[in-house]
Amino acid sequence: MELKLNINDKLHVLDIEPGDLLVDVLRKSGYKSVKIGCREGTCGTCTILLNGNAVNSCLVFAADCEGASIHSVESLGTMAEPHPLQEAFVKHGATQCGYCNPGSLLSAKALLNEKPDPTEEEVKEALDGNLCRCTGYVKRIEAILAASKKMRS
Amino acid sequence: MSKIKKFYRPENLDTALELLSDEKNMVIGGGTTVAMNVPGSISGLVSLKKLQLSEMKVTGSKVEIGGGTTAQELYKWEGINNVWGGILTSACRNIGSTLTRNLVTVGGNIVSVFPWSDIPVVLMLLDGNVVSTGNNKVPFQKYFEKSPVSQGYGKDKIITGIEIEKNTGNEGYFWETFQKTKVDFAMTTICGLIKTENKIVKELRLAIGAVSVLPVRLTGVENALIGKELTESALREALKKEFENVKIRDDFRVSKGYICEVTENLIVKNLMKGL
Repeated sequence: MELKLNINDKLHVLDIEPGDLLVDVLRKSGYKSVKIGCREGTCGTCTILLNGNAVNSCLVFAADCEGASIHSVESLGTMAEPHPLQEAFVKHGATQCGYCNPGSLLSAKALLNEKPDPTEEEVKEALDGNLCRCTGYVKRIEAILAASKKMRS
Repeated sequence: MSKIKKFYRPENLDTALELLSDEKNMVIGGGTTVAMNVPGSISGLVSLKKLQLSEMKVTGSKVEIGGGTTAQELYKWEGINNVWGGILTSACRNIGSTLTRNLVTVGGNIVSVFPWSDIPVVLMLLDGNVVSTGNNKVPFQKYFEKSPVSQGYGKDKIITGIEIEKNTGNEGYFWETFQKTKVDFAMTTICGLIKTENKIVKELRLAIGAVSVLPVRLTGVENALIGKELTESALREALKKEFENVKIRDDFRVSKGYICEVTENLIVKNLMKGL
C-alpha cells in the first residue's frame, strides 16, 4: 500500500506492507539513526518525533501514520553544525556507546519544544522511556539542562 | 512477514463497525498492544485515528474524555487535575513511559484491560460511564464486571469516550502502585477515597488492580467500615476477609500471599495516614 510521510520536512511516498512497523519503514528508507532495540516499547532506541510527540516507533503501525510529520535525529544537526543538544551531550559526557543517543536526543528535543526551561524533574520524566546503560543518566540530565540554558540565551 | 494484509482507516463510526463485523478484522486505538503481538486469527486492522475521538471537555458537573485521547494528553490536561483528587492524573502518569503514553489511548486501555492497566482501577472508584457507539452508557463498575471484549466492545461496540461526574471535593484520596521499576507492570495498584466526620467513616470507596484479571471494588470492606470509627485492626480484618473472595491471578514474580500482604499494607498505610 502507498504511504505518504513527511520525514524530516521532506515528503516521501513509500510502498509499504499493511502490517509494517514504523521503525522498519524508516530504517528501510535510510533513516538508520532509528535503532532497533527491544521491539516492545521498553528501551526507547527507536524513538522518533511523530507530529511533534516523542514515541516508540516499534509500537506504531506505519500505515496509521498517513500524512504524518516525522522527525528523526538526522533532522537535528550535522557534524559541522551540531544542535546545542548534541553539543551538550558530547561536552557533558552523555554519550559513550551512543546507541541510545538518537532516542534520548529526540525525547529531549520534544521536551524543549514544549518547555524551553525545564526542571530536572521534567527532564527525568521526559526521558523516562530512554534507557542508557553507559552513562548512568546523570550526564544526560546535566547536558539537557545546559543545552536548554544555551538555547534560551 | 506480517500477518496483517489489510489496514483500514475509516472516517466514520458506521464504516468502522461494518469493517469490524468481519471476524478477521480487529480494532486498534494507539495500536501498541497489537504492534507487539498480532492475534493469530487477525489479518486486518481498523484504526480509529481518523474518527477524531480525542476531545476533552468539562461540561457542567461532567468531565468528558474522548476514547482516542492519549494517556499523555489526559495526564497533562488541567481539566482533570483537580477532579477526584487528581487520581486519574496519577494513574495516567504511571502508564509506561512518556514515549508509550504518547501512543496509548484511553479507549484502548479500557478495552484491552490488562491486569496492570492503570486507568481501569481508578474508574472503578469514580461515578461515571463508559460511552460507546449509539451513545450507550454503562457505569464504570458494571463495565468492568466482565471482560469488555467478551461484551462485544471493540467488535460490535466502539468506545467513543468516558464521562466522569465531578466529585464534591470534601473527600480524601489516594492512589499507589507497587512495581519493581518505573516501567515494570504493576504487581498491585490501590486507590481509594474516604470522607469522615468526627472520626466516623461517612464515605469509603476502595479499588484494587493488577492482583486480579479485572479491577475489583472492595465493597465488602466499604460496607464493613462505613458508619464506624476507622481503626487499623478493623480495617485489616475487613481486608483479610475480602481477599478471601478475590480471585488473585497467578504472577510469576510474586506469591499470592505476598501480594495480598503488600496490598493490605498499602491500603492501611494510605487510609490511616489520611485520618
